[in-house]
Amino acid sequence: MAGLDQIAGIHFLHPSIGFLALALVMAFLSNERYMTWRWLLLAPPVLAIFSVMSLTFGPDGPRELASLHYLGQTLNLGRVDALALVFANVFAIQSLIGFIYALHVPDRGQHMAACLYIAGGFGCVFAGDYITLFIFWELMSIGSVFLIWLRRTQAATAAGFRYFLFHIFGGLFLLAGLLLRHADLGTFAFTAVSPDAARYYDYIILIGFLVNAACVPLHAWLPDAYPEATVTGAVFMSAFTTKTAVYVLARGYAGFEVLAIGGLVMCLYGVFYATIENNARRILSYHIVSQVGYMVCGIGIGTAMTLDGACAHAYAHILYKGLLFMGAGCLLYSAGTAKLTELGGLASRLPLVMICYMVGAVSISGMPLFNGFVSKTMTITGAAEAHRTWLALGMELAAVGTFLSVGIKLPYFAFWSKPTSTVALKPIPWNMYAGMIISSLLCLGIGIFPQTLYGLLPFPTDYTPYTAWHVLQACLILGFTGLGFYVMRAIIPPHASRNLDFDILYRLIGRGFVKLVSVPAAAIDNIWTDVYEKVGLKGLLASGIVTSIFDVKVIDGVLDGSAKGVREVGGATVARSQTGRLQDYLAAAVSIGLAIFAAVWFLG
Amino acid sequence: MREPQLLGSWLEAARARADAWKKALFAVLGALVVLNIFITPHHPHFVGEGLPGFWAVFSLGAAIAMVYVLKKIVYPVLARPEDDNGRP
Repeated sequence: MAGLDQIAGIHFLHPSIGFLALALVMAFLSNERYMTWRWLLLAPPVLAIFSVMSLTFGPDGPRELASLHYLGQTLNLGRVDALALVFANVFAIQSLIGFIYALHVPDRGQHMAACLYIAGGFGCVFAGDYITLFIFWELMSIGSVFLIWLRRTQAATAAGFRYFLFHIFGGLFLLAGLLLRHADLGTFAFTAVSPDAARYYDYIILIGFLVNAACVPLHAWLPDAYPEATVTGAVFMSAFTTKTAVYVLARGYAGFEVLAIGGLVMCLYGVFYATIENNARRILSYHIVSQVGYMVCGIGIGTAMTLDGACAHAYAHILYKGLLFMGAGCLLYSAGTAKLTELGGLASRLPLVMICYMVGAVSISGMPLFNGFVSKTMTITGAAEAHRTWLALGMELAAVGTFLSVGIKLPYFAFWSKPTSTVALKPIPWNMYAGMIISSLLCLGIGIFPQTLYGLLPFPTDYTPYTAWHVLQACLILGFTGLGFYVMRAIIPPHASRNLDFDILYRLIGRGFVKLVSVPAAAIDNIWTDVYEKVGLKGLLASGIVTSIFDVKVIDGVLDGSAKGVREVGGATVARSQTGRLQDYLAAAVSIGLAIFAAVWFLG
Repeated sequence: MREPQLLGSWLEAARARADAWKKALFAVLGALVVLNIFITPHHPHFVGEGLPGFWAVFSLGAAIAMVYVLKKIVYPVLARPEDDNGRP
């Protein structure tokens, strides 16, 4: 058990272990007895919080706390430093909030998927080499795709496949890049790349990272898939995939100009689409693209202040975006739809949901007293102080768009616009409120006491968000954006539609491939089948009969006839296990893969 | 879980006083602009930022322009039926 000592030693309990163990345990639990075992869901997040806290208060400086040998390589599973810890810290907190919010869901499949997904996120954050990163990166893709599929609608199945194919595409770039890098440098170590010394393989890896960061134009999987995920799954997904990508970009690619420009494009692209979108969860998805844009831009500028700003914003974003998805999830759960055209007039019937949503909305908009204010202004001020005035102005423009669409449009049309709604509302379970209230308090708490967040950042900072000018500027921007909404109130109402985005490209490619297979390839196959039936099959059948008789009577008969017996017993079982559904095969493949990895981990 | 009725009826009552809220908003906006005459950035990052009312004009102009361009020009080009799942 050398592996276990290394991973779960007194110094370092890898937060992924609890989640992986719970996923394994849940395989043996039943949905019927869910009410008795559901409290177990809170154990891995609590363990993760303790683990990360103990590391945070441990000795300073980078540490390597866990490694194991696998495939002839040394995998570094426990690289711990300030950058990893700020992300691990908020991942641990958000995993607890997410599981509290999901505590009523009697579907172990969803919880297993969430566990694998979160384990993947922690694994990436503590990975010291590219192989470890790649393994956990793919685990995240697989866990998250089940959070989409398990909504069990036709749209979710289709969106899940598109999501998964696109992430495989990104993962292959990462794999190709890390192998080429190894061929050139002879190391898998995951270290920072200097913008001046970047080689072609560094850019290939960067493409893989940018897929997960939802960088325009590689972003379309996000607003395509997240609105189709389960109510509780979307809360997890809003936190981990893109922020893990932000972490690896901050770790490896700080100071790359392409990220500074790409980040600003993301900031603006996301808010533009959110302004004309109708589905509340799709509006929030576009705002993930936009908010991650701030982080990517800060990383691209690459000064200590903008890198701190990117990390602080990731921390704040995970909390308020989870809260916003929880609020929109409550609408979907209770009213049965997240489409703004079908909502409205709910404020007096769901006042707590409205208030919690608004805490998230003013946080993302950067209102003083809330966490978005202390992180967003840091990134923008950092950009301005690095003399990147146009980037700073672009981010301010995105801030106007953010308050316009998430801060005013979405809540106005969901909660207010129509007379008091009379639609039947499904009662919302207490735990969903609990998740939202905890998030709301954290958004407010960090906004009021920013030093709690600043103390975690990788670079020491003396940035003071609460100056008279910063507060006045934020109030001016929010107030006059509100006036803009009032002036344009006749034009802004949403319409029942979905807007064309880059996902149309890969839908067309997919459809083209199916056409190619079903028309020309199928025609060739038909001709070949005819020829084969008429010429080859008869001879083959005759020789097959002779071989079969020889096998059964001579070879198996000489032994003990067991092969014949096994075939008759196993045939039906094997046939039943072949469901023909790709989702089942994927689940089986990841289970076997994890079992092998666990065996190597603990026995190796 | 039941939502608190008292809060719901208070929001309902607040909604009935929309005109008062509107006046309050305008008053606050006016006060912010007045404050901006006295409070300006110590180190403006670009020329306009030091002018009182810059961010008020920027935000109002940006919000109006964004909504107009996106809803009137961009939206008609991009809009597709909502549940067609991208089929042409």
